[in-house]
Amino acid sequence: MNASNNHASDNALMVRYQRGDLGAYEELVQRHLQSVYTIACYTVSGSGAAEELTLRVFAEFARRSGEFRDQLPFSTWLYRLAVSVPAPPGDQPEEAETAESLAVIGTLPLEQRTVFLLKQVANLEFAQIADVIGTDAQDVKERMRKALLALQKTLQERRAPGENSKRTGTHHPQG
Amino acid sequence: MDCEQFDRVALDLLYDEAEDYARGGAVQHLGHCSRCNGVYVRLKAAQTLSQFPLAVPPTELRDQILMREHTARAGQGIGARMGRWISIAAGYAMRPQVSMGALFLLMIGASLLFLRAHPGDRDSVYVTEKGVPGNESEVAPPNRVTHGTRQAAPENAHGALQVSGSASSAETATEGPTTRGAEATFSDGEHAFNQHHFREATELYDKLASAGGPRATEASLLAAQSDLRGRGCAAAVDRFDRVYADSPESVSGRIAAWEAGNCYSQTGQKDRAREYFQSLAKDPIYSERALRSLAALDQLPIAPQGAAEAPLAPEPSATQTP
Repeated sequence: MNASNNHASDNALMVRYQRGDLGAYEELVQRHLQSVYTIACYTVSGSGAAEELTLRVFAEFARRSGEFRDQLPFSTWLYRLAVSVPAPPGDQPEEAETAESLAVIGTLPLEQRTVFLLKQVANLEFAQIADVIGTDAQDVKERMRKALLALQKTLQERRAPGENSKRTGTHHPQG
Repeated sequence: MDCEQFDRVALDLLYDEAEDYARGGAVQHLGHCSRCNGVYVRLKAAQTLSQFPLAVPPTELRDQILMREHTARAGQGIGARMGRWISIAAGYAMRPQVSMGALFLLMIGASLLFLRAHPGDRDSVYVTEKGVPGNESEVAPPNRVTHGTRQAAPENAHGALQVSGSASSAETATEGPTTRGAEATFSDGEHAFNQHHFREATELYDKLASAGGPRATEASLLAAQSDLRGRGCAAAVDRFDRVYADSPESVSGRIAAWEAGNCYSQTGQKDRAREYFQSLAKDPIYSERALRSLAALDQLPIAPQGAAEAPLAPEPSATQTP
């Protein structure tokens, strides 16, 4: 999903929705649900809490749709709302398939994590992220650089023992 | 491009957001700078390593979101819907182009307020003249003053009749508005008077007087004055008597007293003339003239009977109207 490429059509849909077209709303939900839900998954603990956070984001989207202005890219407006919605408390432990990712991303400081998710998941441009979180693009890029390097380090540290144990295990029966 | 500049665009290069000129400079710099080349390779590896999977939302989550919106819409009252539309409209209204347009229209509207209104269907415009009291020879004819003046200026040369006009207005104000038909008849009477058609003017004013209304007394006075000009004092003096008798305290009554006094003076009926002049002796407008006339009465020879029968000169300026 590329926010820039969808900018015009997203905005057109939003204008239609403002005029009462629920079909346009459904289309916008369809387009952005996965991104919002994924960010929610990496932000709170547990799928129930992520679903609740996603519901809250889209409820806020519907409630404040009258405030949307066509000059702003829709995705910027949507994620600006999303980061302002308070997260519900976490619930049950995450599923195994996303548990590692969550654990790794969870090591990032909040300011880096937000930038990282908006870039990697929502695929916003740096300038858009700057608009969403209220800073300048250079600051966003600096946070992103730190986030990437920190994640690389964390992932390497987490995978190295596993690889060692695999090697050890492989070798252990033989040994 | 130096290393510091490269650091600023490295992320743009990594995510394909760099402008063409910056991309060219960065690629060229990477070709000969091992330090920046190392940084970029490291970032690229981190980016590749950080590709986390997108979570798949449960199908019921989408349905829940849409259901909530449908439910919210269905439960929205007319007030909430109106509020939503007003919010959207207000958003558009805040745009600079719309604001400038509104300001432009406001300026045009405001400038229209300064344009003078068209006179519309008014028959005439009344103008007052302020001055000092003059002698009787300068007194304007009754038609001119009575019909042409609506503002009170009792101390000027035309004072009495201007007061008459003012009193008429006051009477009109207290007794209700004069009908448009009556106003037209007054206008016709004035026109006839100016054309020296005194008989016609008398008839028109008599008609108005008999119709009653707030300006009936004024009409009676004008009829008497027209008759005075047409047929002379002998015919008109009774009319002045009646006007005075009907409303001695009104402005029309005092004018009638003055006219009657003059008529009686001309016809040699000193006692009647004296009565009228004495009634005006304390009037702030007529006192000076009344006292002068009273003094003159004692020296006045008895006029021949025929003099009273002759009509006054038709020239308006020669009228004896105060």
